Amino acid sequence: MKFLEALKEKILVCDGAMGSLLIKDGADLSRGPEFLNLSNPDMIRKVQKQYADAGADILLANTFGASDMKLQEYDLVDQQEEIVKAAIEIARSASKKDGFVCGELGPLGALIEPLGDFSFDDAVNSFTSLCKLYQKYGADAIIIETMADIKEVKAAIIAAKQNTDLPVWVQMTFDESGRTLYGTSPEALASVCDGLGVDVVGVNCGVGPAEMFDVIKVLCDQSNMFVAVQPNAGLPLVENGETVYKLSPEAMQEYVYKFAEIGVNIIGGCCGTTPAHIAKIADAGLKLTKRNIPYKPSFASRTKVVDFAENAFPLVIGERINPTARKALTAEIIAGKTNVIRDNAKEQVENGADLLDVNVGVSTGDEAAFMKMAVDAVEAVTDVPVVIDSTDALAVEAGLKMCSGRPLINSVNGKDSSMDAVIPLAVKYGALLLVLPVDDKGIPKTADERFAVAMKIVNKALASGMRKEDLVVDGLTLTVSTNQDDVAETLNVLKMLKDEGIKTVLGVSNISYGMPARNQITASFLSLAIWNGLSMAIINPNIKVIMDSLYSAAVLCSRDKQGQKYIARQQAKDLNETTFVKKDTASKTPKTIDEKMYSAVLTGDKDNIVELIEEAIAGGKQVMDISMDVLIPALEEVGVKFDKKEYFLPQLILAAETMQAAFGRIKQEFKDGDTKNNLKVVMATVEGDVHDIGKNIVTTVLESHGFDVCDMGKNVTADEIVAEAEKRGAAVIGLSALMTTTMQNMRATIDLVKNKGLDVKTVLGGAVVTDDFAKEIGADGYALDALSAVETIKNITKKA
Amino acid sequence: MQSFNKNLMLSYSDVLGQLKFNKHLTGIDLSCEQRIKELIAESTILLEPKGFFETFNIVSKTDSSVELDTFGVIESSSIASLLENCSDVVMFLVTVGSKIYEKTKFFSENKNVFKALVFDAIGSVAVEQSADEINEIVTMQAKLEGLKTTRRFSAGYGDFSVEKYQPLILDALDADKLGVSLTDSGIMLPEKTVTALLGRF
Repeated sequence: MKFLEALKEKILVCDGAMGSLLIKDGADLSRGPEFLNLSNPDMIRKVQKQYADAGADILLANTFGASDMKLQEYDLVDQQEEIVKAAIEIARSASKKDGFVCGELGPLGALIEPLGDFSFDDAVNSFTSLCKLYQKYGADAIIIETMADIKEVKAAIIAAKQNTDLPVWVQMTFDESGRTLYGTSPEALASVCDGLGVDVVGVNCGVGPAEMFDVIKVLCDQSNMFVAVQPNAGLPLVENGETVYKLSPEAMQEYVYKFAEIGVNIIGGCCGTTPAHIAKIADAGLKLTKRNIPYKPSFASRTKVVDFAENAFPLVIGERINPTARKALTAEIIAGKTNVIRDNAKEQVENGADLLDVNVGVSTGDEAAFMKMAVDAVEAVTDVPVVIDSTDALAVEAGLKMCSGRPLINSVNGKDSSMDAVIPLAVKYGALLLVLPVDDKGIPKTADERFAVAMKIVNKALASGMRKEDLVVDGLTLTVSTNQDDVAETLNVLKMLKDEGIKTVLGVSNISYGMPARNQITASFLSLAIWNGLSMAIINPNIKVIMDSLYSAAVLCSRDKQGQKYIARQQAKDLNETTFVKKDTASKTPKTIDEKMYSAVLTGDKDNIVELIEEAIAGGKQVMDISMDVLIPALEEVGVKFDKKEYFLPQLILAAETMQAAFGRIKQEFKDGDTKNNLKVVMATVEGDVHDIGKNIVTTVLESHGFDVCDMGKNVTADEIVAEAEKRGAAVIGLSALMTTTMQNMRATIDLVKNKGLDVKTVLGGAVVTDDFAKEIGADGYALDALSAVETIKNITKKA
Repeated sequence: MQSFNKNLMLSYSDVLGQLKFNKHLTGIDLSCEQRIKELIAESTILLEPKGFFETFNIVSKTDSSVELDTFGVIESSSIASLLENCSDVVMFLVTVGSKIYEKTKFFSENKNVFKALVFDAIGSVAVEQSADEINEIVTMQAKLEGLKTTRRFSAGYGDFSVEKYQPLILDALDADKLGVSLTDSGIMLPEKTVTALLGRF
């Protein structure tokens, strides 16, 4: 049975670690592990036989470092073919009767631009020679594995797809944060692989099965590609200077059931795994869970994915990086600089661009070189996918090679020369494609004619192996000032394409050339286009009225579920624009350490106060002086400001929390007994009541004023409160209640204090509690708010 | 039964208002403002406003009681006077969900009183805003039918007993489907849940 057919039937078990077993057998690795294929084939066969006997369906040929880049380290480039041929033969001879042998593409050991200076073309070439050998010597599939850089993955996939007809299996290494070393998310990996026609996607190395689970789950949920997992035997640990892996075969077995449940298709092992681990996986009796995930078209940058679903929120392609009628940008491109490009990129993304169009079509110079430079610049400063915009196929390909993720090509048109040049590029690089329905006859006038040309191009793209979901057709915006009647044709063709299940795009701003107050026309046209199903708008996202129109239209056309994005945008705007900070308050900058500490309490800077106190102590200040001369006066000023309503509660709390942090540090300098004389208070929210924020506010403020507070929490019975007060020798009990139904329970505590004849004062507070109620049930005091609690407690405990 | 299920946009000024910020007197500094704004931004994914509202016909009334179809009799002169001219009553239940409540509780219990205070205020603004929005929907629908609505009235106001009627209201409005329950001491959980009724005439 062929590899892919077998994957449809059952979960395949892959082999485990090779290197550690070779070392155990005393292998001579002085010329690299791959040379053993020639020098000691039996040793390799023995390891692989152990895995096959353990139940592995798939053996990876010993070719992880068989690329010319790696072999040159051992001066073995000339023997690459013999090494590969032997590796496949050895694995085949060790394999089960119906087992599979895969050729490996491991990292080349050189970073590809822009991470390093190795070119994308060189990487493709290096992988190509290996891929051809795998085809020639009968490997069942090609596995690209232990990759950290998505661009290297792309180069390897392209080499495999362009030079063989073997199934392609891709695995990257993710760390505990769920990203690869260079920031790629599992969503971005899935997007890029799906676009390039990869058959199996997965994860190996780095971490153990537990840490891999979330990443694998994303891959299973994200696409219909087969999913593979090859974990290490747990997280690597270092013992006596050596890396060790401690997850037992039995523990590994526990995890593989979870992988099977979410629909994983291949399970094997990486570092630290042994034939015993693989035997446990093979013996687990795993059942294949079929996943039926419809293809999800998407764009990707190196790190991030932008979904491209039908009838979703319209995507914004930022149009600013285009030298047409922009002298400064034109001059900069020609000079080989990218400052304006970077600024434009950042600004557009800040204003809501989902993708960035990159057009460097200036009249002179090497457009391909400019494109490479511009894509690099845009990717360096933003994390959105790019749109490679050029009529020059060489420039398009240069952009595709530079791009780290999954881009959109803008565009192909109906001329044979364009279709023949651009469609194969989209297929080869796994890009999505923007279709411009013009041909040798020029711009079709009517919607019907545009639709016909569009379908001609779409069908050609489909025949070349592209997916309908990866195409987007431009409805062609003409200028209303010269072609008023054509606006309807543009809008109509959008509707026709939508009914055909084809997504649409417009260069929206073209509509308003030559009109005064252009943006109003552009914004209205955009709304109409969205009503007719527009999927993406090429616009200037920096113009507010146009973006406002897009967000509103999306709500009205049911393209924004529950107005979520619209509301989130308004929320962000409100938070950005509304401020109550008066300008003069920030004017005084504290200079001395005392001023800085004073200011920290005043502004509630709880994150920095401890550092400031340390600085003061290091500078020779006594903690009592810090407390008496700086902190307490500052807190008193906070109290005065609160009383005058110059401060509101959040500021009082921040100041109090700052004091708590400060006292926490100061106490470390105290000797035992220094705080013995602080007044003890027991605080509680009474039985039946679960509200405790108010009580916690009071606790915080009391502590900031130096009281020794025991907070008993909420829903506390009278017996518990009084017992605690007795135990601690508390002078005061503070009670809180928020409900009319629960405030009656305050009485029980007060009665108990009185019945026992304790010398403990009681203070009440809480939203529904009043001074009259406090008097009625016999409390010693009532506090309206946290600050008045301080005064009340001081008053009732004053010795007569 | 109609349902209410939407996102909210909380205004920064409303949250400050809830925290008793005085626009004329209070001088907030930049760092405090930023701290509050960060929590508002964070809260958008924590707020899950959901509610139900239902119309009940008035079967009969006296000076001190009103009988509602399928609900039963409400003994309360406050309610009787509110509904004096009404033909039916809309009752609603709305909650902002348990996520914001759990978060507030977490910070309160872990002595991050500032965050607890601000999240509590955000929850209050959110539930009040949700109640206002349902009120507006009910009023607008009434208007389409040529009717007006009374002011909003909740159990606990006047002599409309919260102990006696809150459980019945929650029951009538499928509170369990919204995850709303009542503690033994009569507190609705999650906090930041509101029930109310308004008459239509």
